[in-house]
Amino acid sequence: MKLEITKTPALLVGDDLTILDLNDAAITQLMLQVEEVKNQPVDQCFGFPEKPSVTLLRTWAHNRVTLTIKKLQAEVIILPQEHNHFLFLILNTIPLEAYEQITPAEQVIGSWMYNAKEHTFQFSNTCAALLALTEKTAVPLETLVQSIDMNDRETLISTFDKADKDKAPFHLSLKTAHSLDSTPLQLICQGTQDDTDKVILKGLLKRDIYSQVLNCKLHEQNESRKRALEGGRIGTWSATQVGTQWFVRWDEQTCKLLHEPLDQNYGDLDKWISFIHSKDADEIKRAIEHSIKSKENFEREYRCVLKDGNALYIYAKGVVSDNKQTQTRCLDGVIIDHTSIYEARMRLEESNLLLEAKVKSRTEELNQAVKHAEMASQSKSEFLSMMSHELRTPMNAIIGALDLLTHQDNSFEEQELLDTAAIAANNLVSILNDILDINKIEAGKLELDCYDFDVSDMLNNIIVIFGPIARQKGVKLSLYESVDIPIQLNGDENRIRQVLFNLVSNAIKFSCNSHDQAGHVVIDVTCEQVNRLVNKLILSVKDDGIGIDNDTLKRLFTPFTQADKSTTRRFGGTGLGLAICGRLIELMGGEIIVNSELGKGSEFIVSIPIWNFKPREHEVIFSSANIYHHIASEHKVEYLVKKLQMYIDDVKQAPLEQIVNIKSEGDELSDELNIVVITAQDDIRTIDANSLPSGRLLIIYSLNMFEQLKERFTNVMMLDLNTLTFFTLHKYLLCLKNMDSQALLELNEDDFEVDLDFELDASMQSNTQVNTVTHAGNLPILIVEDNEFNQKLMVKQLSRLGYQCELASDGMQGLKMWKKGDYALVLTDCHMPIMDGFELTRQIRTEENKSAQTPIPIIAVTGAAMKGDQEFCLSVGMSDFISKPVTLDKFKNTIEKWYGH
Amino acid sequence: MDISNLDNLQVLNEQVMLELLGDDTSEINSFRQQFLHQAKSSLQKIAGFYREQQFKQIKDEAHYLKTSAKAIGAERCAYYLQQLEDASLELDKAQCKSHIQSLSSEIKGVFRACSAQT
Repeated sequence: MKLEITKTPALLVGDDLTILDLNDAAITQLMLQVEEVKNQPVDQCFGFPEKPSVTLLRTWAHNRVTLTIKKLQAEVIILPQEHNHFLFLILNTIPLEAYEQITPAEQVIGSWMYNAKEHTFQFSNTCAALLALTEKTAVPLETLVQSIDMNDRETLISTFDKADKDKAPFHLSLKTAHSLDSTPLQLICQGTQDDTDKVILKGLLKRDIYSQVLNCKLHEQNESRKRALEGGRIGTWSATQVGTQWFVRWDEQTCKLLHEPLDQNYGDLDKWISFIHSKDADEIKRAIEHSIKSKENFEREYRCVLKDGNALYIYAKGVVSDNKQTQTRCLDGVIIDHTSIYEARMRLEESNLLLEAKVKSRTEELNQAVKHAEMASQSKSEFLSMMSHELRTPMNAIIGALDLLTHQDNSFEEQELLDTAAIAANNLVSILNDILDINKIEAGKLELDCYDFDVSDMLNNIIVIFGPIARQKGVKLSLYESVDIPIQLNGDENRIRQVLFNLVSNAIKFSCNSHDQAGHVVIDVTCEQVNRLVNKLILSVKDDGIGIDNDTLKRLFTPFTQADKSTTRRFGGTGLGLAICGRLIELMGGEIIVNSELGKGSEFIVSIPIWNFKPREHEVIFSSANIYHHIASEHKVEYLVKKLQMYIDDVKQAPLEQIVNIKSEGDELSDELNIVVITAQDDIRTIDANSLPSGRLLIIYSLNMFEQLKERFTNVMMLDLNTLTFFTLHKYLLCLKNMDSQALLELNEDDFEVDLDFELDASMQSNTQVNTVTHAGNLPILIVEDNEFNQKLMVKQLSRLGYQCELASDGMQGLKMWKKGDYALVLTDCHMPIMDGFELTRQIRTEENKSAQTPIPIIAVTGAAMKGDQEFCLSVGMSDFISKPVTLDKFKNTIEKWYGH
Repeated sequence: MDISNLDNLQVLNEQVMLELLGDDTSEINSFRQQFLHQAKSSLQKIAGFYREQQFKQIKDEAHYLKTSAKAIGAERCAYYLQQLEDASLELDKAQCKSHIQSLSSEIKGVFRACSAQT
């Protein structure tokens, strides 16, 4: 037996109760000398409560006993060894004095007296409490014995038997029967109470509180661990390999988990494996063997089959350790019952599968729905495209016919009716265009066509169109351009204009216009820098109209939405305009904000990012100018002067009356520019038309007094202050600068018409105001058109323009006529029965290629208005494209462009 | 100025007047205006001569206007005036008619170009 393997003090005792050996720890910690201890009787070294014997030691085996060694009290475990040897392991020691002096806080001490004659005890209160006894006096020895742990009873009885005789002091370490605490009580006999009467023995009963607390804690922790393992359904196991033999042990909890008897908690590896499902057993066995061999930790999931046939899903884990003493390798581990987790996982997987199936089915439904929606959308697009063509073709006839009629000598009433019909027809075409636009936008087919343009020119366009409309409705229209708006910016002018058209048109439409107060629409255009590269063009349109409620505001940009049905009845419209505006602005990367209050009016603010632009720079047209005015508002004056200063270096201001004193002398044209601003009726009266200076004079007026001024001041250039744009101002100032060429304005294009032929139909000449050029004698134009009315209309229009025509009612007939005849150009409809215009073009081009002929200009005349349609026409070989309705001017320009090429 | 190839010619080549007069805009405009007045009158004369089939007069009037057209840079006008001169020399009435019509159209083009610049 090698004692050195432990650091705990240890002594080996032989069967003759002599000390055979002791380790270094015993020498150092117990301060023993080898020669004074070795081969000496054990009771010479240790103080025993009774005479030691092999039998006594065997009864103490594996238990803790309290012995004294030198002046120490020692806790000793006696472990039986081979050849009737005993190993004394000294677990802890405390000096006897210290033990005696343990403070009451650390020890509980009771006292007792024993009558050796009557074998009865007198206990102090503490002593009775420690023993859990209610009696304190004349307590029989038997009662004490019953309160002591079974294992200690024999020792107690024999000790008191001995004490009855020798009355000598003794010291016993006992465990009580009642306590869960395994800490022993120290029963100490101090000898007889007095030397004269040797019948009464006295003594103490002590319990070490510290040790008791420790034991309690240990017990609690063990219980807690046990409960945790039970709760977690965790069992422990240990597998050791000794040579080829396997020893596996497992705990009570494992037995419970595996439904095995509690006492059958050990066996070889095969027994352990026998609990495992046959399909998993081999793998687990190999894994355990592998772990032991490789020292890698063990971790597996497997199934166990219980005796009742149920399966457990086990998660097992083990850690390998080496036992150097025994030269063995051990795998200590746990098994955790994962059945509930597994079942939950299975349920989860099932539910996942169900969900996946549901998602799949929903996705299919959704795809189907998307397909249907796309088909519906495509059908809608096709329908709209077709409708556009079908409606625009008769509209072409109507507008064309009205156009022709307006060129005749009509009475005032007839002309009024014709104008009304023309406006209605043009409105209908606008609605068709709106429907096409929204359709294109929603189909994502609308592309922006960006190029450089002058914002001020565009604004002037708006003013030219809406000025008369606003005047007619009695609405005042004002425009403010900030000085920083660029002279040129890159963007889709047509689409920006379309947005502004819509907003201004709505503002005028909804503007308040009562008897006592005229409505007012204000267009405000500014440009703001966002960062070094990007600026923002801000267009604001404000009215004082009916306003919009909050609910309507939210759906204002939804197609076919107006404030309510009464709005449509009262103001008309399709409700497409704002939806188109919203989408167009979105497409340009901008935003639109609406501020509105019911009954007070609305303001639409559009901001569009711009990248490529050219700032408006100072351009000197006049070095100086005098401006005569009575404007009270400084803001208005400042606005006007700032605008003028863009083109005039020095703008001098003077009161209006002074204009009469600067009349220039002689016929010489003065270089000086005089600007008269008239903002009130009194201003007109202030100045005498005859006293105005001749030469370069510009009248800028506000209020609705154009007609009045025109009557009073003839041959003077006039501009409206409220709608003054940079574009018009620049144009007028240039014109004033080039007064020499003023005469040019007296010429017009008609002056350059020539009449070379007297063979024109006299009746046609008599009822037209249009000067026509005849192309008789030149090659005729081939018209390919299936609609009879359109045929007639086109022939009439072309004859007005002096061209001869021949007619074909479809592509096939057109092709035959082209082959036989000689034509200057072909005008063809695109959609026709038998052969359409595209096929006709392809065949003509093929024939021309074969015979190396010069290509004849082929111009498409069609109701389709999509950008793509035009591209398609050109791609099949057509030379140009005219969208119906075709006015005389449109025909004239296009045919002049191609005729004779 | 080579006026033999129509494809290379401009309605109103502004560079011509700039080279003649420098950048005096009002002076240039004045010359252009005079040309247009002259053209109006000449064109009516040429039409009259055509109706009366006086080819020699057509040729002379065309030649007269051609000089002015070249001066202000009305290159396409000058081309048709040259064509008209040639056709009238050959007494080809149909060609004359065609060229007069083309000339009318080109002068309108010059008018539009001048108007756009004033």
